Amino acid sequence: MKIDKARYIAENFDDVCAKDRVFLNNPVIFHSLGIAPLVVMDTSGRNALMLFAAVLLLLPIVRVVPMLLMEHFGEKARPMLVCGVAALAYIPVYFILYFIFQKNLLSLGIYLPMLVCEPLVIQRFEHTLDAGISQTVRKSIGFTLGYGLVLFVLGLVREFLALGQLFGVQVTKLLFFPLASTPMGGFILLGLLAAVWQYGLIRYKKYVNMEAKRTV
Amino acid sequence: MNKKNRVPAPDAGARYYSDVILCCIPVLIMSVFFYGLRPLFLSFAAVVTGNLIDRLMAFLRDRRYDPHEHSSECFALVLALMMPASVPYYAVVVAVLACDLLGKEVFGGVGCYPFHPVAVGYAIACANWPDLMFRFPQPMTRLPLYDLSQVPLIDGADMALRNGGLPSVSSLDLLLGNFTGPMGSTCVLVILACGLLLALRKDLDLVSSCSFLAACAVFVWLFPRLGGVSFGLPWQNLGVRLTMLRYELVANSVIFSAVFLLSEPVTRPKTRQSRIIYGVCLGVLTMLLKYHGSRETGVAFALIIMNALSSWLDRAVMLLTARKEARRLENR
Repeated sequence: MKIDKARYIAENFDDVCAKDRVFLNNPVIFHSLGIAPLVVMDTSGRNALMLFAAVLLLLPIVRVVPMLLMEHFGEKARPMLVCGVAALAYIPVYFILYFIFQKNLLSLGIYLPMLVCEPLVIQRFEHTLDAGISQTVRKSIGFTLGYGLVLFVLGLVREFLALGQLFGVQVTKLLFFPLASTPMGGFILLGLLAAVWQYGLIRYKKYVNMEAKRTV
Repeated sequence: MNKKNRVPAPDAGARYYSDVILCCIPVLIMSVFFYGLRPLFLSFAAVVTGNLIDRLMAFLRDRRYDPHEHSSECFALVLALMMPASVPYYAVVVAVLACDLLGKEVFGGVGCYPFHPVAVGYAIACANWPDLMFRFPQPMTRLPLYDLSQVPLIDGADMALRNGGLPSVSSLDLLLGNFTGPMGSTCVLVILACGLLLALRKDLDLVSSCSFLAACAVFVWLFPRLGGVSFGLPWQNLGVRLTMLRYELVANSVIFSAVFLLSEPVTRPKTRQSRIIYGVCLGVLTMLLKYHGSRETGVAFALIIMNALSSWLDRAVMLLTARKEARRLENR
């Protein structure tokens, strides 16, 4: 790492973390957002892909549209706007997802419509909205990528441990942890993933500080 | 605090784990006698996994690895002995990972865990691989070290009891462990000898173990499960009740649990009265889960439930004792 970059990160670590929504400030690991669909339905790579597509389509709409409407309805209408847009946006999103994934989409069950009331999607109703569209879009993409990363990691790990498969392809006949396909196993693995992630963050912080102190 | 209620010294825990490992060795030798070298390799895999987890966690937490603290190895060995000799190596490794990581390290390591790590590991293993955990090879079968596809596996003696029947095992075979079951928990005579040694070294908590066994025995005596038949009053059909008592206590890992699991110094209650209540409740809960549970995991789940109440039992007993003492002083 270049010494200037290391010094900048070391001095502004909290700000850097706040801006990075994929690794250093992941919405699942550090804010516990989107846990319910993750623990219950994220049991395979295919389910992870479907949930990721749903969040990818839903999140930018729920972030951007209320911001545009706020100019007409005022600050007090913010919760209504965010929740209403989430509920309305779900209808076309569902049809798009159904067009792409066909009947496989039904395997997500109630957890797909429940995204509408998932804090990951509608948490902005609690805060004042962002300053501009570009910032909002950037944040929502960061959130989606961060959530997607955890979705894929957890989904693939669970599929491998429970079924010995990766994206439906049989990799091994050994079933290392069949419990991984249940919510209980999902919780355990998510906890372990969060622990490893936090450990990685601590090591990264130490590494950056060491690099910043380097004189040569 | 009087002598009976004294909390063990801090180093007593460390010695406990070494003593339990020592006492597991004769049990392991018996399982090698019954099934060949496979139990030895399984136990070795378990102990190595436990040790590696200990070292890994010491490294991750920036702590010094303590080579004299053997709790992980002890839990791994006891857990391995509770599994069938036919269980795959990866199942043992994953069970030990669950035992040490989820049962112990998640709560802060040795001395901090509220639930017995072996019970946690065993419960997770049973939930993971019920088909592997409840089917056993015949004793006196030389098991191959790797490929077990040709080895016939049968239900354990407990399955016959669950189905309302009786396993046909002679008394001598029951004592020696010559019947289908987990590789280490069937040889009752050896386990009792180990229990005696642990008791002499003050590692076995006789109060909770005896109250646990007594509660199990009374429960079986009052409610024997044979073909769903009611046996009337407790003093009727004594022969049948004795037979049921023999099978339920010996063929169900009850004695193994009483010797190797109940006396764990971190999770058991500290005062004498609470240990009696703990043992009795554990015995009743174990038998209830054995009678009505879906699988033969009675002791593990009962232990987890009772561990959750263990500190509360201590506090409740101490509070009652303090109140009684205050009343006595007032009356003076």
